[in-house]
Amino acid sequence: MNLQRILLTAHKSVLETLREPGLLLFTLLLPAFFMLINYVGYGTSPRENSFPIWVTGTGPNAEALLARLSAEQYANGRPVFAIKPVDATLDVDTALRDGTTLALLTLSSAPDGSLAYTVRGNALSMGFTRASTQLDAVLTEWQNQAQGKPAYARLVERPLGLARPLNDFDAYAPGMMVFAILLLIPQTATLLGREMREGTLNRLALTRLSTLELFGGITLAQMFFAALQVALMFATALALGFHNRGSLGLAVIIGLALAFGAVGMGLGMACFIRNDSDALNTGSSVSMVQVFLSGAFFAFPAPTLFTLAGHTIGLFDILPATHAMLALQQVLVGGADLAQVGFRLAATLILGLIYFAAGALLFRSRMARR
Amino acid sequence: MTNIILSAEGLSKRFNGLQAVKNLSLNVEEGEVFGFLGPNGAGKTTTIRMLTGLLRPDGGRVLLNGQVMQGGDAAARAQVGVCPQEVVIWKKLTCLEQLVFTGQLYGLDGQTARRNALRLLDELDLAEKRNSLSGTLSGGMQRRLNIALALVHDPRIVVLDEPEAGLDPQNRVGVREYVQSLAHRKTDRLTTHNMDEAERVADRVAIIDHGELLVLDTPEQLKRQVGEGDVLEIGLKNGRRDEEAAQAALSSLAANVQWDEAGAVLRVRALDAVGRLAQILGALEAAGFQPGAVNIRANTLEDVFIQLTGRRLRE
Repeated sequence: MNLQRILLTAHKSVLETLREPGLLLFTLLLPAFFMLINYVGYGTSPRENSFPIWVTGTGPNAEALLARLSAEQYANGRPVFAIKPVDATLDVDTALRDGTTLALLTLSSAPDGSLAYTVRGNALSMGFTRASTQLDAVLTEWQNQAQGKPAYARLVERPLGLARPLNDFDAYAPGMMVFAILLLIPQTATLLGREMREGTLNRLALTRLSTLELFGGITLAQMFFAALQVALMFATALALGFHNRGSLGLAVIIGLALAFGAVGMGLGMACFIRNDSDALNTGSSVSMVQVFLSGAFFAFPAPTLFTLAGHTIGLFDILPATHAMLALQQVLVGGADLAQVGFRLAATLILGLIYFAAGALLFRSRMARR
Repeated sequence: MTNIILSAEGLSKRFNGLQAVKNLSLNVEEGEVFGFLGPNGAGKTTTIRMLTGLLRPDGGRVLLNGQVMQGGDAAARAQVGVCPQEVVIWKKLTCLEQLVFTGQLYGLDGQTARRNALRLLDELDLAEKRNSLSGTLSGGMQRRLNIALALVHDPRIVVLDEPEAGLDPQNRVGVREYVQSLAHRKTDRLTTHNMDEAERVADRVAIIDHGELLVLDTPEQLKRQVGEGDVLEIGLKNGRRDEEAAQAALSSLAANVQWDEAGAVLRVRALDAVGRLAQILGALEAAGFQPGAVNIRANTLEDVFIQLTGRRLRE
């Protein structure tokens, strides 16, 4: 392997990218833009929501129940419910549809003289799903007590020693970062796809440049832009009020480790494409699937394969993104340090290397078969 | 004793069931200009891609300087410069950047690559465009840059695959002149350039069709295979097509007759055809033919090809 040829290829790739300002801007700003979308969507909603609940009607011990609901609070003292008694004649349906309230609790007297209740809400609303779960826990407990039944075991939250996200923006930011970085897969595959379409890959194949040197050069160039992307993305997140609990430097390193894995995957994908259009379509699909499988947006159930160094390894742990996602979450939101995320960081890097090497081998074999 | 620099032994290649090249063997000798001719789809480009290590043959092998050329043999590939039929350039690099880049990837140091690049840009009349992005160049300029990219590392063998394809007449002349000038500088050249040039410059010419090598010899020898003498192309007014009658009418003049594929022109080959033009026309008239326009030309490789395949090179 010749370092000079790697650097020459990287320099060429950087030059070509810099000379497409539109594409460059898109590449650099897209992750920051995703962060902005995350902020617009979740930036102002606290993680521990006080669910607005309207209450109408009355019955035996209704005041005591309302007092119990009002007293329900999160570990940080924030009330779980914002209880508001309303007139029965109020247009509740409209309020439920537009989210002014998440649920209507109607109280009445049961034939046996006890307190009866119904909960009404918009089943399509995620807020109602969350609020009704919380509401049901309190109401069931209340009912059991009224009937003299022993109390069910209550769920007690105990932090893992890490901090918690203060709002949904904090909670979803690491996933959004993983999503943005995974876009390097189609971007990298597109670079090789263009060389294929324009025939310049054949020109390179005629020279002394080896597949590993070509991959090395492209990776170097892509990592240069990835570093800018990641820095810009973190800067945007912080500017928008992201509550970083850990080391920003460590988070950047995790981001770059994932970027390396994504570049490796993009290069590997080039074995299955014929041009840049193929690369964009297939690459985007591959990166989107990984976003979900890695748990970037929500925890994705995966069968457990084995335990390694005290860590449970699931099926989707074959993806660098899964490890990077956990590591980013633990550092940025939970304040974990290098020792705590070392395993995940190492896994991200090792898997990235494996994908890079597999991609190079496949690509060389494809070039030789042509 | 001649030294064989490039050799193909029984090359074969199939694409999706189609036999593109079939058991093709040939040798390119050191110092010679080798013409490689055939109609479109004959298998020229596939053969060239195999000869230059870009395509792995299904059967057979390629030897460069007597050594089997393996797919990964970068040092061997670096001895060859290839100008593909299509323009293959990096559109977002300047002319100078991509020439220096290519030269360095072939193993030249930066200074030599730059010196070679500047010389080629000058020779190919691209000096003023050296800092222009190649994507902004005209088609003719891009074609010239395509040639420069094949030469920047000063290769021992240069392969030019239809370097004039798609050019306007002015650019075609410029490219042709430059390509011809290479014949005096490069030790070996394999070209699928047009027949006129092959006839003028090539030491030997190979003609292939349907992936098979039909003939390989010097242009003179090939033309001799078709027959000695000039060719008269005689348009017939009454459109009569009777090859036996025409041959009989001209048998006393030792002429050879053949209709063109459209059947409208009678091709007569005979020694001193010009001097005996009146006799030939008279004999044809006496046999019931009505000669019209007459065109006189020398034997060409086109005739060789028509003789071999019954069709023209460029259909």
